[in-house]
Amino acid sequence: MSGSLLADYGSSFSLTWANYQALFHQSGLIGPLERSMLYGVLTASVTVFLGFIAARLLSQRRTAATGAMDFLLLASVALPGVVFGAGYIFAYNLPIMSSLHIDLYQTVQLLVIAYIASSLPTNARVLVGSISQLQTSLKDAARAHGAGAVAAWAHGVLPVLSRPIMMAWLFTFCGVFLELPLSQLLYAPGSPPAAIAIEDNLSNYHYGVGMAQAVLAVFIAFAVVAVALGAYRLFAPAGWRRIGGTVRG
Amino acid sequence: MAEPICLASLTKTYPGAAVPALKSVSLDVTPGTFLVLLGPSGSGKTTLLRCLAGVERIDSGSLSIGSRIVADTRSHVPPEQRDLSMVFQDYALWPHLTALDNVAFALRRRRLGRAECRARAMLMLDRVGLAEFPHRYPNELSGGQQQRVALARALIADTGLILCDEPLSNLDADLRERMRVEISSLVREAGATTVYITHDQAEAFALADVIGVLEEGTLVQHGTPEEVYNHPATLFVARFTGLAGELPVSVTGHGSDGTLEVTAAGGGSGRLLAMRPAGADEPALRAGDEALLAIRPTGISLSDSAERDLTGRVADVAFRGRGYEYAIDLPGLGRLTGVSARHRAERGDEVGMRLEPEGCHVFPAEAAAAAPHGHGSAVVSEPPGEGGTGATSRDASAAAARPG
Repeated sequence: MSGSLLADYGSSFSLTWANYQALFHQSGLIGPLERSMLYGVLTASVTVFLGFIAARLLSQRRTAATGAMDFLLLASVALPGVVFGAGYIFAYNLPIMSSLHIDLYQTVQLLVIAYIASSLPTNARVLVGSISQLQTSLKDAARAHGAGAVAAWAHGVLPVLSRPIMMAWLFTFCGVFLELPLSQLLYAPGSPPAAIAIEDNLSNYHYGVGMAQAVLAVFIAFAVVAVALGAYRLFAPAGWRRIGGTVRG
Repeated sequence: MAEPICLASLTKTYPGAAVPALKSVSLDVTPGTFLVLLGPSGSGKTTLLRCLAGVERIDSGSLSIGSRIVADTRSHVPPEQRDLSMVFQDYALWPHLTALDNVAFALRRRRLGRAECRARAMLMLDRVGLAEFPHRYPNELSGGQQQRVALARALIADTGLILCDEPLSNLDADLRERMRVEISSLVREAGATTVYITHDQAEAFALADVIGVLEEGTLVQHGTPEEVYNHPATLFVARFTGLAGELPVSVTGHGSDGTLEVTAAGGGSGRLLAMRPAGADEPALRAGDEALLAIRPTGISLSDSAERDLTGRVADVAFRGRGYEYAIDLPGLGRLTGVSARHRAERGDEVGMRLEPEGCHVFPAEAAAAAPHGHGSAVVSEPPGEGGTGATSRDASAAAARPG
């Protein structure tokens, strides 16, 4: 933070807001942060949805298919982001992809797909514990007492899982917001995400602006977490807050 | 209004399972009947209940509730459209709702206003003795209180069918007995048809208008508690509904009133009278056939006089309030348990016993191999309805006689 407040990276020993002012007034400095926020929201939302389905399958009766999925999810957790990204470069540069009209290399779509694929295993693991502890009878009871399939899920299951789902969403958002290895290999030219922009500024000796970007990025991540937790505390029904949290209704 | 239920050749196999969970189960339940499905773990009773509720689909056969077919090979009416209520083994109370809201939830289908729902829920909580705790969450209630909330939720919507999935199995013995009485009275007041499943034969006899006994997915007998207890169709039913023990015997002739004359193997007794098998599928027994004599606790008593059908030695004695309960070793024949008497005899004493034909049932010897003891072969150490220290059950592997 102190680095972001230095005028010329310490040579004059004076503190200034100039780096932060530059962020909001010079073109191309705030854009990467906005872009990463969008990627984070998109990736977290899709990943929580898919992770929930994967976790539900994993928590049900084990079959060969769920066993294979379990292995793949576990193995991909151990895969470094650089290897993952390099794999995507090779795969999406294959001639067959062009012949199939799948031209995703160097597009935002491929970066988001890679974010989702790399976040999904951890996300599913975060959710599987909560889902496997869920009493299946809660949904059955809702249906037996007159609720349709969707209403039974919304009234009988969602409240119990709301906190783990929110935590998984925040976990993914924060991870993607400042993700570096995949972004380095797969970002679309002209659309750098936050981590790339910060790294560019730092490696080009724009330390003050780079530091300010980093500080703002961390602040945004904290702010999103605080807003989500605060909103949950303020707006979630009292009964929801009692489950899995320390907040008393 | 109470609904009749009709099950016709109901069959259900779970994906990946080698054997069906239900094998062609057929049963008619008249409106307002309290039906108890009794069976050991894995007998299919929970599957049958879940098929009735609609949370499981049947493979074949048909299932009617009231005048409507709710499930057959081609159609499946979802649970929410069957207008039923259910009490779950684990209570299944929603942890994010208060007791009042849990109960009121079941009224949503009646399209009443929120205030009306809450007022009715409050009345129902009062009826089950929880008027003081409407705003408590499930984790702030005891097991018995949670079960009462679950019961109130099942009763409030005034459905024609109430399903109970072993609702007392998570409660301690004292609370179980109190809740049993409450369930019995509240459900009967509601007038609904009730299907209640349990593996506890004492609970079944105490609650049921009609008992259905399930064995490995097959309904092996159904009838009033008296019919099932006094005329068990198979050795499995006899074992599962409570035996003092079993003796290997030989059939010597036919007596009057549906009895058979038998003698214990090895000449360990004189001529004994016992009931012939009640089940239509049981083969007829003839003189000279080897058989198994299943003795109810009500069919045997210690004899003070010289007249005795069996002689044995006291292995154990337990004071049961209204009298004593004995385990008695029969030389070369095995052990009988749950033999009751008013007077005390000491361990090691030689005692004589009288058998009542109505409490003794003869089954072909080959039935013994076919009828597993398993979990279900617990015995009732007191006959149903006699109260005393409360119905207790024991593991039959210890209780049933071992032919020597």
